[in-house]
Amino acid sequence: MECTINKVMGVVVVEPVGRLDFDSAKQFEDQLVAEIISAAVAGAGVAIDCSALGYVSSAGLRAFLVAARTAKSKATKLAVCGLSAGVQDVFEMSGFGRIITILSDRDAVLAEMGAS
Amino acid sequence: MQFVSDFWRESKLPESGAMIFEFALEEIFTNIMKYGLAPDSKSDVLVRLDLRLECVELMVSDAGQPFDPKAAITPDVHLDLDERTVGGLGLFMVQEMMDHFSYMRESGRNVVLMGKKISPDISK
Repeated sequence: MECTINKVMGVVVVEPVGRLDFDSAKQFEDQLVAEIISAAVAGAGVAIDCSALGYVSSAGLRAFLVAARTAKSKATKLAVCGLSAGVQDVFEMSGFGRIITILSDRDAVLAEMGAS
Repeated sequence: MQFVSDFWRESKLPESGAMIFEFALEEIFTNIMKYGLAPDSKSDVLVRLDLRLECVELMVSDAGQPFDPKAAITPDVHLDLDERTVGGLGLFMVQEMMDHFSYMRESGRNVVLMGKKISPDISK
């Protein structure tokens, strides 16, 4: 799975592209954790923009859980945005909607994180 | 997983429902691969997807260790971040997503059958 990383208005935007399944989840998890740790050092927030994410399995959910824990331990802001209807359903059913900040889109994240 | 999307397209089903079945198939299948079969096993896994009376049915059968997904631990989805685990979550979610879900041990095989009502998209 491809994953693009950009810094937009002081926020690190991670954008997974394609399918987050059993095969790709671990790699994504490692990449995400590394980005959160370096963002923490730089004092930046992290946004996971899921606009191009077509599918997420429970292995993929695990990556989000690990990311949320890492962000919490590093006192870094983390938000997820741009969920498709199907991915949103999976988030809600897993109860992750309550433990991870979910915002509508990238603009909402940038506004929320007070980027300038 | 290509198999699910091909079935979906051929049956002219609305795209939104496909993910539930991909999720379910991946969950059951990886569970069999991880726990059900001996490492050197040459056992087969049968997967069948059917559309009948606007209900999509998925059957997965394997000859591995007896395992009833309905008896798997039920995760507490209301816990805080620090207390959450992913163990058992996938199987729990599959059962929540489906309208019906059953398990049988039959002739030395695990047979999991599940289904959900999904109406074909008549605009296609």
